[in-house]
Amino acid sequence: MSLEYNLWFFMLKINRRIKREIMNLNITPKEIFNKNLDELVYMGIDIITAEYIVKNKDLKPVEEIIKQMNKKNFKFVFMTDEVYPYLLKSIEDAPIGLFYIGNIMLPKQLLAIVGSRRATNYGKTIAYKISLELSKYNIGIVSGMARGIDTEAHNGAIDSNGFTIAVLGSGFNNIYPKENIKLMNKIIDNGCVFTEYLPDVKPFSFNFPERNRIISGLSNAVLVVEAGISSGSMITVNYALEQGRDVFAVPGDIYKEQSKGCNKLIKEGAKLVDTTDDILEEFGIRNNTKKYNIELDEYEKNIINYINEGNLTFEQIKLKCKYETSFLLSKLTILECKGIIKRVYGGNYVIIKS
Amino acid sequence: MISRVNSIFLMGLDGYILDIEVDIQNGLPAFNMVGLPDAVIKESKERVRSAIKNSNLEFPKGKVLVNFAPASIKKEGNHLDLPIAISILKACGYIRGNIEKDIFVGELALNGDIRRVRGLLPMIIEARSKRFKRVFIPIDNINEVKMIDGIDIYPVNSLREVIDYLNGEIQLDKVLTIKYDITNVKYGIDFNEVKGHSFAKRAVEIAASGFHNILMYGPPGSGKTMIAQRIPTVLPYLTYEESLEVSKVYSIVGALKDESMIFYPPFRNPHVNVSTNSLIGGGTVPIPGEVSLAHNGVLFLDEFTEFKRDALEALRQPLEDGIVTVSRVKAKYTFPAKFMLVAAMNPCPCGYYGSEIKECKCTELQIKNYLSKISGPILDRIDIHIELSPVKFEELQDSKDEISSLEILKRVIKAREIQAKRFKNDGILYNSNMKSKHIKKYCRLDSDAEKLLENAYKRFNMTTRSYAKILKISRTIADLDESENIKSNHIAEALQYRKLDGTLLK
Repeated sequence: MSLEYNLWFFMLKINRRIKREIMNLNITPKEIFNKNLDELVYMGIDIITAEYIVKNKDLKPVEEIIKQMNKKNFKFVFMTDEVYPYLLKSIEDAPIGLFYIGNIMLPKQLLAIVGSRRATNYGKTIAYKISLELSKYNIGIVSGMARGIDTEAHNGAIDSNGFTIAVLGSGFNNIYPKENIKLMNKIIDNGCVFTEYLPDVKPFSFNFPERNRIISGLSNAVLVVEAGISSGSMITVNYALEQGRDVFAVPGDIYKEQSKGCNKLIKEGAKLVDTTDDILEEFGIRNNTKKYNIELDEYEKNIINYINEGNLTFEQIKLKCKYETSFLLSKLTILECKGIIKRVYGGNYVIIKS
Repeated sequence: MISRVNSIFLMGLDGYILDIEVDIQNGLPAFNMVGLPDAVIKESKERVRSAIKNSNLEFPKGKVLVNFAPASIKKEGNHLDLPIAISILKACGYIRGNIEKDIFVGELALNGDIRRVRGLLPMIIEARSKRFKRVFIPIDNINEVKMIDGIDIYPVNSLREVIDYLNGEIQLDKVLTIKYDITNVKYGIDFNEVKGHSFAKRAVEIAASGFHNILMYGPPGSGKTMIAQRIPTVLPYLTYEESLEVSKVYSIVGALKDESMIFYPPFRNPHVNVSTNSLIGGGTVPIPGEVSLAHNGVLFLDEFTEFKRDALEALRQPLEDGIVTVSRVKAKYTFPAKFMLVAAMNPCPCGYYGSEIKECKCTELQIKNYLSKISGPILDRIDIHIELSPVKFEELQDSKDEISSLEILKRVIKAREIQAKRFKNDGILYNSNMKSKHIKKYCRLDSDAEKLLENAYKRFNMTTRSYAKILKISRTIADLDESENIKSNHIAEALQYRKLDGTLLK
């Protein structure tokens, strides 16, 4: 069973860089396990590492993990495995192995959507909307399953039955944040959840910047929806640039903390994204859907036109279109049922499909 | 020498006729009471003795025994001073007239004056139903009984006056009854003072029509309190019977001062610090709490989440049954508590979650803790949920006249009439009271409406409970529209008043 040895090698407390160098020697973990100190040193492994490896030839912790994997239904993929995400393999600090739940046959085109945990309605709507629409073109959405933008990005993909990938900053026994466990169950229905950490690892704050390199590494490009100047999303952007990924950003209110990062990125040359088409273009896909292929009557079209000018409260819409209160309320519900608008906190109606 | 005088004592909201018997026998001077009097009644010995002496009469020099019948129930109240004194004087032979069909109520001052008492209204109503002819009451309580007919009420100033009247030496004027009249009732406030907020006003109109409970949330300054205060102005005035129920409660807590009765739906807004007992009713001898004072009116709980959890949970029974039962070892006290709950709260501790004006600084955990103070069962009993946002500048500028309370009230009354007709054999009054059998019977959807509801059920992740709520609200909207069947636009509008899905308020 190579899984046991792969896991054993993965769990050795050796620097990832050294592990990668060892794997570059074209040797399998099983072979390493069976070699003695002299042989290891002869192969070119430095003496300290070799001694450590020889001392730690204990498969008990591995069996423990495998037991958990069977029980909780998650799997492990090693960097030499065929199914290991090929884009990720190419990055400098690629993970030696990943635990995952769900479908590891990832789509060819992947977009990471990252942003603030404390997002505004504006950011959340955009994340949801872009994710919803891109999913229809078989673009997978990668994100971190955090609150705010991440959650909305996953939700958008789920709602259009697309493929979405979450990369966690903790082990599978400590899903964080807890309220997103429900979301995770939806993701694994038709997507995949990855983590580099052993099941019992807690969501330490230093895990997340490290996890961010996987988010950008898995994807072809990174879209930043709302991000502060010094935020986790900006760390992801830095990784993306190092890894040679494209970076897109959604512009925002210049007075809002959450938009300053995005606006700075645009200033520095990131592609400004204000419609889904901007991203499709980069992926080389032509937008072939017609606008509003749903039947709408005159009133509904009118209402949509008003909301399109910006997120509006009920009172603002009423002021513009001057319909009767009860009539307007029922029309808004019908538009909600058709999936074109959505009511969000703050009493605002926003367009989610255009 | 034995005499017997009638009076009344209260248990909860109901009066019970009480016989006060006095026996004076020869022996060492003594003044004893039997028949479970409480401390206040026992103390009345001294007041009665002084009052009799200071009315230029002689207190009997023998063994005085006072008995309260029925003997097994504990009596309380300061209003028994007068009947005790009358009974003693009757036994002494000072009173010549026939007092078998009379009721006496009043507290005595040491000089023989008669002071005002609590809870007179329910007492008089009981006296009337037991066909007593005359009631003597403290003159200060005169306002309370002005609208009671069918019984002669004599307001009296002093013990001496009562005796002289009973002996035929002077004449007393009866209370002149006035008709129950609500045409002149005016509120100082009106909905046309509220700018914008047409959504909230419509929600209030629906809530008032179907007596639905309503929850408003929004950032500080979005107008929640302003709207809540105006809700009574769109509730129909109380009918005589309704008013009597409410006035009885006010009479018992001694809150009927200048008004003769409560004409308008009461509006109560207890402070967040209110204890469970003062909200629900309680005390060693239970008196009604805020929920009963809000009977047939509005109970407004501002800063809903800041109330003590126990206090909020205690609202469950009155919200479900429309009554409150306070149990004591000796007896159970039932008070009416059919009120419209209007709750207002912020969406998070800082108040600005989702707001465009100011950034919310609360963590998810803080928000969760904040909202978890309101339990699911309480939220389930609130049909209408609306979110308010502060009025925008362009709305303030809009010069259009705002809808007035009277216009809303007219529609509400019409909708209430339809409901009364529909439910006349069902033992319920409003759409909000409908149980599942009523919903099945009265909430018929046309095919479009059914399709829409099915679609919405899936899209909005509704539960069976929220499904029932939507049907009840749509029934009310259809009534406002004077429509027999529930149409799709009624369902569509009702859906706007649902709980917002998302991470909050789940």
